[in-house]
Amino acid sequence: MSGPKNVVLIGGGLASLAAIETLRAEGYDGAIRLVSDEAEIPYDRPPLSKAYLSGETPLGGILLHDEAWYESMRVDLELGRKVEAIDPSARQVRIAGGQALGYDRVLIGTGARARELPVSVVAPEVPVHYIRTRADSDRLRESVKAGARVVLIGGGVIGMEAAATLVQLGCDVTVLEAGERIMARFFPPALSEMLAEVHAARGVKLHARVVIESVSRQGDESVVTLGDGTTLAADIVIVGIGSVPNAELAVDAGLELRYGGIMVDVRAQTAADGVYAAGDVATFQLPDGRWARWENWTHARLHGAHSARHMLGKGQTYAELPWVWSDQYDLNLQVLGSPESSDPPAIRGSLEAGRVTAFHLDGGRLVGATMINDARNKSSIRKLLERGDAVSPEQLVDPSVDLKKLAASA
Amino acid sequence: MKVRLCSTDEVEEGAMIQAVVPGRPPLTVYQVEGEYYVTDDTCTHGKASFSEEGELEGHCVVCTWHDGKFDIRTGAPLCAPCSTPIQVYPVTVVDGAVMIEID
Repeated sequence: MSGPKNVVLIGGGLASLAAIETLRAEGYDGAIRLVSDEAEIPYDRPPLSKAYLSGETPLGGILLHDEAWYESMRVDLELGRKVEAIDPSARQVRIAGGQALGYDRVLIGTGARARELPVSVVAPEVPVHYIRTRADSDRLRESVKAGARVVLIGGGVIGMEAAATLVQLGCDVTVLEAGERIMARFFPPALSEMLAEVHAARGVKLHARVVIESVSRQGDESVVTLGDGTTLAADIVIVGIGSVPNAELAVDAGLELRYGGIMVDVRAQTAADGVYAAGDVATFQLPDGRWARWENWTHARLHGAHSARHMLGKGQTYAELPWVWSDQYDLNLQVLGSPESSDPPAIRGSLEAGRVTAFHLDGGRLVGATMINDARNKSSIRKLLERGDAVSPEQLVDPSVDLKKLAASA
Repeated sequence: MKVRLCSTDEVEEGAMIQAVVPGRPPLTVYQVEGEYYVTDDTCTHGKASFSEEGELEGHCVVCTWHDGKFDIRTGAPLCAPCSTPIQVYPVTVVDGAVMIEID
């Protein structure tokens, strides 16, 4: 069998990076071209709302690999260049400016962009911040100073991370959340409550069940008007209300979307031969046939690697568990598996005691766990989840039960 | 100067413990296949403690906060998101004590 000789990776994120690592580790010897519309070599995005935003870690500290590594991996970097189109029938990628690159395998690893507030809500003259790229984080840092009034719209992961970073820099931070509570996608109510208390103790003001009527500009300040008529004056407005997959290339190439992402099969391949998609931008099929689109760091990496193995015909089943983390203050927050369940969560430990885990159960079976500073149980929980048999909530929450032993006993 | 960190029986095979030398960042002492290894205890990425939050897999310590991985023999980071090596210290075992050399 003759393998591929010419791989093009679109997008400078983790999916493309993992594809490079995997292609070379699997012995692929052909050409690799990485085309990214960002000016920098791939960097890690989680610090953009944390240590990079605060200035603690410079750009050099968040690069996923240094420049020399790309040379050693024989990768041609095409940075600051936007791909305009993919032509699956000609097996070509067209770059802005007219250049065409031939490929025999191409990966769409373009990720997602921040979801924007509609123009009906936010006036065009308001300098609203989003946090998705290094440039976004730089712009925000330039406007941050102690005492600045910050209004954060959205109490999800990005919003709460930015709130933690900015309140520690001395900003006056208010978070506005449309739903019932913060981090609701990943946390059961009891843990949302615990985390909200931590933020409140640090001085973050939280308002849930809030409707944003408008965001306007008056002189040097922005004014956020809520549904009940309340107005909040802000020096800085940050919006973190989710993301939108950068799937346009696939749509223009006639490929189908599902849940907003590019539909790929179990091998991460689209309906077009040789065209793959991985990470945030892809909606993929789980081994059990369900469709999913995951937006998290680990998935971008693992799915990118998975697609690369399939490019070489060496692929396996993608049987990963979703795993999401966040860091806020000195708290490490993690979700492994499903964050939701039909049974009430079983809660082990407490934040006062330093560690807490909420186990999510569905009809007596463990389906996931949310951990605060309790990741050392993660490998045991992973084993229990993979085993999938019934567990007793009483045992899970009993501090005298060693989860390692529980996971080992079958 | 040679410093005693702990006795060899305090570290079980395949396990790790924290050791503190006053005035310095904490250290981790590991035993793998009968050999002792010592590294800094604080992950260079997320600032978690290996002895508290880590898991030992052969000669690798995995920091469970973000699943970064380091080789405890060389300190080399083995996967993203970790890119900065951890400090490792040459170990000598003298009369049942784990010792390292520090400045």
